[in-house]
Amino acid sequence: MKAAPFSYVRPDSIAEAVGALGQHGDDGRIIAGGQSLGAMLNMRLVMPKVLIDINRIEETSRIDVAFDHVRIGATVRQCDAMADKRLHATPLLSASLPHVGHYQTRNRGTICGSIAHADPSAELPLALLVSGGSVELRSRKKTRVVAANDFFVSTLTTARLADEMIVAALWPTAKPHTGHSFAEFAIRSGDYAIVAAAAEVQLDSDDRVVRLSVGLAGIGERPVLINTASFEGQKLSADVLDAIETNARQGIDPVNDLQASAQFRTHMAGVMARHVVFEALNRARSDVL
Amino acid sequence: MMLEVSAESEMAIRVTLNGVAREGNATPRMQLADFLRHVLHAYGTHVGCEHGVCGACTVLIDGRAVRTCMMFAIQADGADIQTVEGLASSPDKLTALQSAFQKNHALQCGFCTPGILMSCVQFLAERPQPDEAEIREMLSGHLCRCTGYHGIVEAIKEVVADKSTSSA
Repeated sequence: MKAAPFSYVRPDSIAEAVGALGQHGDDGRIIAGGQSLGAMLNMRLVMPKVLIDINRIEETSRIDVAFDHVRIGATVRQCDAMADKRLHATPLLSASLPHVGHYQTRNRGTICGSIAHADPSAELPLALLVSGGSVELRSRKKTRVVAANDFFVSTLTTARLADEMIVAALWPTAKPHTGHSFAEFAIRSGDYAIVAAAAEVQLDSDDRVVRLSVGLAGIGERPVLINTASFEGQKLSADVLDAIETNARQGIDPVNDLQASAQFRTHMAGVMARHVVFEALNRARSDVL
Repeated sequence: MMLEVSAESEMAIRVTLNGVAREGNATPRMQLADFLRHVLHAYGTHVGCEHGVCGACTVLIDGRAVRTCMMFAIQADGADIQTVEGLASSPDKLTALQSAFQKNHALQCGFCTPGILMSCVQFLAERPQPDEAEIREMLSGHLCRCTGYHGIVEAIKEVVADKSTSSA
C-alpha cells in the first residue's frame, strides 16, 4: 500500500501554510503527526494533490496558558503534552491522552491532528466536547473560533472549511470544586473505543451541581453530549445517576460491526456514562473538602 | 522560503543513520520505511502492515520511536535515525537487551523484533524501572504473532532487574 503521488510543500509559518491551503483548496491537505492521515494516504482513502507539512512551523508547537484556558498549538505532540505539568489545569485532557493510540503513535501524533481527523470513536474530540473547548481556525482572510459542539459534524467531517487550518485547540481551565473522569471500553489497548465516556462535574459547597457535562463517543457519527440540564442545582443522588444512565441510551445511533452490536453499545453507553459521572462526582467532592 | 517539491520530482534526502551521514533521493510519496530499505539498503527495519498498526517498521527518529510507514522520507530530511543495525557493534557483541531477547525466547521468526527493540531503547531510557503494566502498555504498539509476548516481557524485565542490581 503506497500513497498516490502528491506534491509536497513545507511551510515555515502559519501564514505560509494557510497561503498554500488557500491556493490549493480541496486539493490540499495538511499533515501534522500523520498517525491517522498516513494510514488513509497509504490506503488511498484520501488522495490529495498537495500535502502541506506543518511539522516544521515553530509557532504552532507551543502550549500557552491563559487565565481561563490552555491553548494547544497545531503541532504539539501528544507525548509532549502528556509530559507537560501545565496540563494539570485541564484534567480531562490529561486523563484522555493515555487512551490515545500507543506509546509509539503518541510520539508523533498531535492533539489537533486527532481533533481534525474527527473519528467518531476518538478520545480527544470527546474530551474537547465535554470540556466545553473550542477550535481556532485560520484562513488567509480571517481567524475564527468554533465551539467543539459545532465543530464536529459527522464521521471524519468537521466545520473546517477547505481553506482553513486548525491552528490551536482551546481547553478551558477546570474550575474549583470540579471533578472529571474519562473511561473507555476497547478490545485491545490502543484501539479506538467501542464506547468511551467522559464527565466533568462542578459542585457548590452544598454538594449541588453547578455544572454537569457528560459525553459519549463510539455511539454514532460524532461524539455527543448527554442532556443534563435538568440536573443542575440538584444533588447527584442514586435517582439522578439512574436518570443519567437512561438519558445516555436515548437519542444515540450506534452501529453494528464485527466488534460489537448496536444493542451492546447502547447498553455500554449507559453503564459508562454512569461510571464517569460517579467517579467525577467523587473527585469533585474530595476537591470541595 | 517554503520548500515545494512536485509529485514527480526527486529530492535529495540527507539523514544521519546510526551515526553515519547518508543521502538518497526520494519522491514525496515514498515512505520513510521504503527509503531506509530500498534507497539506503538498511534492511533491518521491517515493513508489516503499512498502515500504522503492527509496529514492525518502528525506528528512533531524533530519539523517539516512530512508525516509518506513517512518515514520508521527505519529512525526515535532516533527521537523526537509529535502526536495529545500530544496536550491536558486531553479530557476536549483542546489547544487553538483544541478549535478553535471545535468552528468554522473545522472538521466533524475528519479523517484529527490530521494531520492538527500538521502542525498548527509548522506553528504557525514559523509564529505567518500569513495572510490568507499563512494559505491556508500551508493547501494545507492536504485534508479535509468535511469542504471545510473554518472552518479550520477561526479557525486558530481566534487563531492568540487571540494571538495578549493577547500579546498586
